[in-house]
Amino acid sequence: MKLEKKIIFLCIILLPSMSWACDICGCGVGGGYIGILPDFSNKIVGLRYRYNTLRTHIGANGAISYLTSDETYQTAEAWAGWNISSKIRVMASVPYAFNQRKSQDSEGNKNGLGDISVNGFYQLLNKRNTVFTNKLLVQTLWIGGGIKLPTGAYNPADKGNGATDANLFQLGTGSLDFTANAMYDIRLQDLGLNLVAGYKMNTANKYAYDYGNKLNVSSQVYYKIKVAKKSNIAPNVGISYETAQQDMDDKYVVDVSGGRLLLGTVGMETVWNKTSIGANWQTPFGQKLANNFVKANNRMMLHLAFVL
Amino acid sequence: MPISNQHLRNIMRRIILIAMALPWLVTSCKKDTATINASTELVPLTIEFDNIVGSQNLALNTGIYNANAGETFSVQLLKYYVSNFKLTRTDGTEYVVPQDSSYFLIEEGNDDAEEAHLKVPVADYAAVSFMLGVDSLRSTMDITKRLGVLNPTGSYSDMYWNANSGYIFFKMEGVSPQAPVDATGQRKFKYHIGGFGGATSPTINNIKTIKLDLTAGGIAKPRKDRNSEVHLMVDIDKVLSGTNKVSIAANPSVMFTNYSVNIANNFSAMFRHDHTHN
Repeated sequence: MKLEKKIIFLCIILLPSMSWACDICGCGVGGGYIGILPDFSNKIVGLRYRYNTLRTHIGANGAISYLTSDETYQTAEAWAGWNISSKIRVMASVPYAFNQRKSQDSEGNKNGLGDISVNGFYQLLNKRNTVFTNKLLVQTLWIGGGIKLPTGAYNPADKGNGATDANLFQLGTGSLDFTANAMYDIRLQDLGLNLVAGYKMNTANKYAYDYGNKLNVSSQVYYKIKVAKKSNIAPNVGISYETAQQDMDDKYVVDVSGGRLLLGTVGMETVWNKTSIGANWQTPFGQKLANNFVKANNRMMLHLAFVL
Repeated sequence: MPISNQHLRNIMRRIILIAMALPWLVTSCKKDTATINASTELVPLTIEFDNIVGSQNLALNTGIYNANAGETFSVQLLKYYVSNFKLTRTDGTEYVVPQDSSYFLIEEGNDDAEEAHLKVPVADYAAVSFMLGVDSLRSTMDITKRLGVLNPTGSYSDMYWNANSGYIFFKMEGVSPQAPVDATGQRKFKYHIGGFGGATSPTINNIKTIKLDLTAGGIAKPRKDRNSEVHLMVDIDKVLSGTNKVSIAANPSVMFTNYSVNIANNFSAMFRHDHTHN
């Protein structure tokens, strides 16, 4: 009985995680949220696909001109997680980005390796209790930190005057960045609440451009429905809020940078044996990006993971 | 064992503490912003005049645009003088660009003549004002004081009428199916707008001063090692379709006549600030 319970836990408990892939698209904000991950006892590998679009080069007071660009950021990301011990976990992700930009009189695209990130997590809390006489309450809290490497190409010319208004159209930041994360999950039987907070501290790249630091918090409610043995689906709904400080270009503040974005999320996670498939869709509830010179549109994410 | 409320509260407190501490820890490391150099040294500030038609970029010769009442037109030539630049700092004080370096001829299609290159003191500027045209004082000065784009005898003579009429402030020519056939068999329209008030006898005055607030589109922050650029959109759609509606069929050629006042009164609505690069 006890063992069986444990197996079910390992297979179907949903655990959060974070990633800062695609960290440029969204004006320094956006792209931090990856949804809810399946738990894994040893190793996990996965593929994640994101689709984000932005409208950039919006003029004063929202004016649309021939310079106004529609930018599409697609990222395919290979990621892996490894539980070194029951309390320590390492996760890494290697993104590949497909960026496209289109305005009335110009078009461009950039494809290539993005910024690789590695994160370590420590499990501060893992508690199971029985409440209300027969209900199971499970809580986990992970804290972690990591680095994001400057493996994606950063082209300093794209920052230049007249090229683009916000320095977003890059494959990577060109900088070594540090992250700190906290993830808390509380679940009463099948109903769970998932809270994630992340902070990313960026350093200046070798061209003296320093993307603003980012804070990302999200809250999701999910409900697990068992559909078969070792198989369940979990619809989720929530909000996430992201805010970024303004960039620094050498010693100058970049006025057209930073901002905040509040997104609503709906998603679904499915687990079938050792395979999990998930998707979510996010829509902006409120935003002020790059002093309103950039507007975020709806975005979506799909992922596939295998527990090894 | 049932979980206690106290225990839950402790966990929540821990999470909140971590979440609150993170931004604090990191923001304290952030660099200070640059302080403004108070020296009197002048630094570059570019005002770009980007000619557009509505939401489209103006394409000489090839672009076909809608005017009023079903009329369409293409632009073959577009030139205008901008002068007497003044910049208002965020504290409300004003810097007047020395007049000798404050006359520019904007010429669509000539990449070297789509911007006004100014030299200004280091400051944060929240507004720019300039004249569309050439002021009466300069218009009546000795020819030795009217150099460069104001030289009426050289390659800019096509922008000058005579001593009393002065410079053609704004010149737009093109073709339209609604314009009558001229001697060369083309359906041309010509708008040559000017008039500073007259030197020897009074004339119309079509000098217009344009003042643009830069706050919404981004204030200009010219600095020594930077190239601050204020990007203005100049919507030439407004020339014909501004407050005063100008029919190409009825007025295919407007030059130094009283009717030109109607077109000149449309000028101020042409200009808007789009964005700033600092």
